[in-house]
Amino acid sequence: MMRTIKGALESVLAAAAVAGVFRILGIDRTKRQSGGWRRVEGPDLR
Amino acid sequence: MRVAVLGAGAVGARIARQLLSGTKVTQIVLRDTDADRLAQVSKSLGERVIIEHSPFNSQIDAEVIVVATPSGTQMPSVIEAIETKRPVISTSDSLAETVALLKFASQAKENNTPVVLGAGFAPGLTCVLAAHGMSWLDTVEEIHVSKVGTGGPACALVHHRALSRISYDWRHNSWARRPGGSGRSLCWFPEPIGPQDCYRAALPSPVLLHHAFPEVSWITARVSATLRDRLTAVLPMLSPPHSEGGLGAVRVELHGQKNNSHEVVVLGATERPAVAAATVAALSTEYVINEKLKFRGMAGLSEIFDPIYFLHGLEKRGLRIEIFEGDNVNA
Repeated sequence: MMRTIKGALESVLAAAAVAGVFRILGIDRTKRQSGGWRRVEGPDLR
Repeated sequence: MRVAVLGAGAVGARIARQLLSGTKVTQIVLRDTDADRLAQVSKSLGERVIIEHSPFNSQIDAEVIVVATPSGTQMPSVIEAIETKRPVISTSDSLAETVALLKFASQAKENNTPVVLGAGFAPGLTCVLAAHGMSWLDTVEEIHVSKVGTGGPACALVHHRALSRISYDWRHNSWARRPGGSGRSLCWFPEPIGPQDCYRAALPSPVLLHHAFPEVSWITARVSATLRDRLTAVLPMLSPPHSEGGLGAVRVELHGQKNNSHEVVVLGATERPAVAAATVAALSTEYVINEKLKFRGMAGLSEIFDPIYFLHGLEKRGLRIEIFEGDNVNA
């Protein structure tokens, strides 16, 4: 039983470590937007 | 002009207040089943308001009817208005109720009665934004609507239930049924809301937008939700809903062609949902009173009003509409 719990914890820690390395290297599976919002006015409302 | 506002909640009370600020409406009949709420609201309204404590669908003495009762309870009042040939504005954001009401579209047309469906934040403002975005493109293939936040307690309850029910997306000439709470999509809303995880839910926007734009091949609607929202959606609300939610936002994304190249248009707005819903409903009522309609019959806002004039009207009332400019808008 203890061995199973220990194995599960090690797996979670290993996954977190890999995710941390990816994040440090700037590899992110979620694409980010570049740009911004501006008010709709003038020519946009014609 | 005598206007009846049914429901004195977060949206209904504000609709009454906004209608009183104009000159066309001479008297408002504000009706609710909750005496305490009516007493509280009546303090802030003037002498032009008649307070009625009675069931929503009992006989109404008014020329125009605005139904701002909780979604799911609006149908009898709307049907009665159609039968008595009186213009009616419904704020319902319930998918089932919207579908049921659309079945009376032919009767509304026969009776030559204006019936405005989904006059709120989403649907409502989102329908106008979609119609406006459509005018910028030569052809539109996709419309994706998303929203954050809730208005009063009735709105919070609809949001809670919608996540546990089947959502309907229009895709390639048929309705795609998907479980609510599925289909995570990261959507960027105008600041200060920013990026939010949004999920499918039983929302009426695709139904109203497909009614208006049957040629668009893909129409979806999503709502922002937390893990707790999704896990507890199948249960009754664990804690009583708040009296009014905080800041919310809507976002409408259109994909289409312009000058033979693929274009994406993203429009949005940030406001407290009950405030925005009341502004949209009050302006819709004024448009109906002033006959600023494309036709008389039943439809959502994208069909029945000219979007540009309507957006000008919203801007004058302080509702800020925004457009996204940049890359990866559908990331």
